[in-house]
Amino acid sequence: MFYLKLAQRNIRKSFKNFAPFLLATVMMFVLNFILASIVFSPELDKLEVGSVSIVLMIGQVILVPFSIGIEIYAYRFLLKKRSREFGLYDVLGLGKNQIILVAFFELIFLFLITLILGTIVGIVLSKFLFLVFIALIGGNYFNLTFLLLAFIVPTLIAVAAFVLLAVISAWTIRRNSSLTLLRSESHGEREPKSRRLLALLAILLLGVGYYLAITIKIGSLIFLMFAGAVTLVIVGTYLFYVAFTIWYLKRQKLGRHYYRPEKFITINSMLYRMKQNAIGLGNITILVTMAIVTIVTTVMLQVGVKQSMMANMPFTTELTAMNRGNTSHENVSEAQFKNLLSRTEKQTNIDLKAGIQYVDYDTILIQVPSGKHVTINHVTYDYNKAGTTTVQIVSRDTLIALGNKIPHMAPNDVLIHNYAGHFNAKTINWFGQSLRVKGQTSNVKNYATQSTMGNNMMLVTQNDKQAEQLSQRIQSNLNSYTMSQRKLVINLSKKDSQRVVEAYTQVDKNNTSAILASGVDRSALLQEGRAYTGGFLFIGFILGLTFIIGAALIIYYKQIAEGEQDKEAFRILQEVGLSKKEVSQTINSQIRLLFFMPIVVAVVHFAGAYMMISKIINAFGITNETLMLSVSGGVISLIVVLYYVIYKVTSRSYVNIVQRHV
Amino acid sequence: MLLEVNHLAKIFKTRFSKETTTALRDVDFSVENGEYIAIMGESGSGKTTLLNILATLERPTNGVVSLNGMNITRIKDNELAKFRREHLGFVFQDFNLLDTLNVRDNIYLPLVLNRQPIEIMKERIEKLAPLLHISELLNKQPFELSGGQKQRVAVARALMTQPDLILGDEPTAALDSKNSDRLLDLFEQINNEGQTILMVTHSSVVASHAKRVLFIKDGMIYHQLYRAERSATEFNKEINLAMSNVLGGN
Repeated sequence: MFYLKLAQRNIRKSFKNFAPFLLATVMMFVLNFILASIVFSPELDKLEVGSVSIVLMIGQVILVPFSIGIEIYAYRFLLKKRSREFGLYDVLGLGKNQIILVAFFELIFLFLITLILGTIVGIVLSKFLFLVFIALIGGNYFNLTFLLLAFIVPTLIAVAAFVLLAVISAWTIRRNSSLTLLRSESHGEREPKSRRLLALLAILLLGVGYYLAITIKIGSLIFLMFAGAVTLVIVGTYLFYVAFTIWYLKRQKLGRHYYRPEKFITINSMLYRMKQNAIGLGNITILVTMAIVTIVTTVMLQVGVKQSMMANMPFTTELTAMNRGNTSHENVSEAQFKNLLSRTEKQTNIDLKAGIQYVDYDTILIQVPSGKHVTINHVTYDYNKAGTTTVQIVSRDTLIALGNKIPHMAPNDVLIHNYAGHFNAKTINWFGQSLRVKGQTSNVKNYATQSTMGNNMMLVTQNDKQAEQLSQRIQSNLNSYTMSQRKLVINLSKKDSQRVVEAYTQVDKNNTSAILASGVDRSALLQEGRAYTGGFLFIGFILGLTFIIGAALIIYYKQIAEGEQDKEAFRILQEVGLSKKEVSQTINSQIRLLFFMPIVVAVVHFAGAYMMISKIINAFGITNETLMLSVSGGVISLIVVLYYVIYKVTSRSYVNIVQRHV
Repeated sequence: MLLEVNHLAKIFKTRFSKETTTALRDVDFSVENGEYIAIMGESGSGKTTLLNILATLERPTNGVVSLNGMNITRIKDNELAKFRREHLGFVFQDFNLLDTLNVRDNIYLPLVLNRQPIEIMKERIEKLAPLLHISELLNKQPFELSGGQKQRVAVARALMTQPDLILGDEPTAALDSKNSDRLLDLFEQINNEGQTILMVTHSSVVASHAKRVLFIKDGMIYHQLYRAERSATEFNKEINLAMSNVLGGN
């Protein structure tokens, strides 16, 4: 069939035009393939943690519209380049329907190539990335089996994308007359207008967006605020490129320095470049920002969750006994607890004598006023109120047993340890009991801390009796019971820890007593946390990679498009009396400016979002500020380097275009 | 003597084969200050190569070109652009205006590159714009102009630096006959005010506006005619006659 042959010949003859488009479709297919093959692999079911596959699926859902978007961008670029060719067909007597048919056949060929190439690259890459994934989540399966579903999902996504592309091509060809198709892309353009109001709006939106992000507070509105800030900044970014840059350049034209060679050429050509590239630059900026945010957040989760878990569980094994929550029962007695422990010892033949026993009085959320002499008599449930503090009552004896050095204290003395916040009162009226703050302890080790949002402090009492008394004062105030529990902490080998926990939780199972015996094995907990955050990190990695590939494709297309335009300017400037070197210097400086602008804006955006991200990560119990700073710095420099490499590689194609005619 | 060309030769070598093409064999001529010269030849005669060498865009294989006594074929690469900027003005067949600059800034461009103060630019454009009938166009963008208007703007740009020599490469090729006549009248007018002009063309009508015509063929100047007091129409007839006589009916 003639049209089929024509389509095939077109692809073969002008493969250079089709190659960037194929690059985009294959890359998107591969990314979808990788995710799908891991989501649907039978190995994933062997993991005890079901949440991983859900995290991966969410990633896939985000990836679909994005990859289709990139493919549309690439295809429209291809159409623009080929409009002349289509116009020629039209003039030569091929009807529009026939041209659409040719374009359709071309798409079918391109689809088949995408499918074949994508599957091959996809299988190789997903085998490799599966190993990375397994290492991240701490599993030990080393072979990825592919289910049919892993092929079907990315194929369906590609089919959807290509159907959309066929519609776009039909619509574009039908809409344009043969003459507009024939005319080359470069008809003269009016100088862009300066729109002061929109420029102002851009700055305003960015300002409000940043303000929201920086002042965001933990609470029920956090996600609404988050979405609001992100929307404002995205709209503000596009307006910034569309209106603000042009307004700024126009202003530069009024200055006296305008008639200097460096400014004269740069300002004028930047005006046109901005007019043509504003949306593209906006896209790149958003993509790069998303990549930074995604990768920083997921890396922080991965690193931080482990750290906070280690802080939460200083020992490998933790055995707890507490009242089931019936007020008619007393708290668990020491004898009851010892009984449980000795029965566990007997069953497992593992010695628990080395363990440290203590009473954990639980944490309580309290409204703490500021000042030197404070009265505390108010329990709260609201994290949003100023002064809301999580307070943990601990006796000095417990801390000493855990290996801390704590000075002597009088009966009504307390020591303060601030985990988060700056409580520094001299005296406390604790629900009617007067306490003197003897001082602050700078460092408390081996006590399991709980990560919480907001302020968090430890109140150290003289002894267990005092601790119980303070705890009970809250109880009478609340008119309820305390939730104090007995604990044994011990370091055991991984295997022993597992056995002890298993035995301990079963030992009292048939007893109808009100004691709830629970145990935690740290390695099991870490494994679960690792699987969860590892899944997130993997998704963050894949999505970040996708965003960067998207940005890279756009940069590449921009370089090609600009090369065509600059070719002419390059020649004219030389004839008017600029040396070859000077011309390439001016053009390079403009290209560099365009290249650095999105990454600078993206970093500024990230700086604006920094507080917000750190608060959200905080909600996962990670409060390490230096870690967050160094992770951010590392991720940003990595992305800048990657971006620069992409720029260097793609600018070679630009230089080739420009220099062909010189 | 403003311009002297002695034994100029240019041989092109293709990069991958040993074949060579001789564009200029042995060209000799000289130009006095205030002359208006047309170099006539057909495509392939070597006239464009000659112009490119005079414009310092290409270097000759052999021979000397001196402008005001300076050998311009020996100028170092990094000084070439400056030399062009200060001594030469160009008018091309495809105008070569920058799309990104408006008309005024296009005309200012060479002076901006020379770091001249804005006052001088204003002073010169005020004198040139009425002469070239472009006063109303100064704030427009190049794409809004007709071909004739664009070429007059290009002439204004060439004149802004008050060059020693204006080089024209088929300056009327992209214009209709009316605009073409208008441009050639303008060239005569500029020349009458003392500006030296050298252009290459393949058209006898265009050449007939010059004061002297050099004929080039196969890389050699083989004939020349002076217009003296004749009208362009009379001169055109003589040019055509000379061509058919000397070239044997070409």
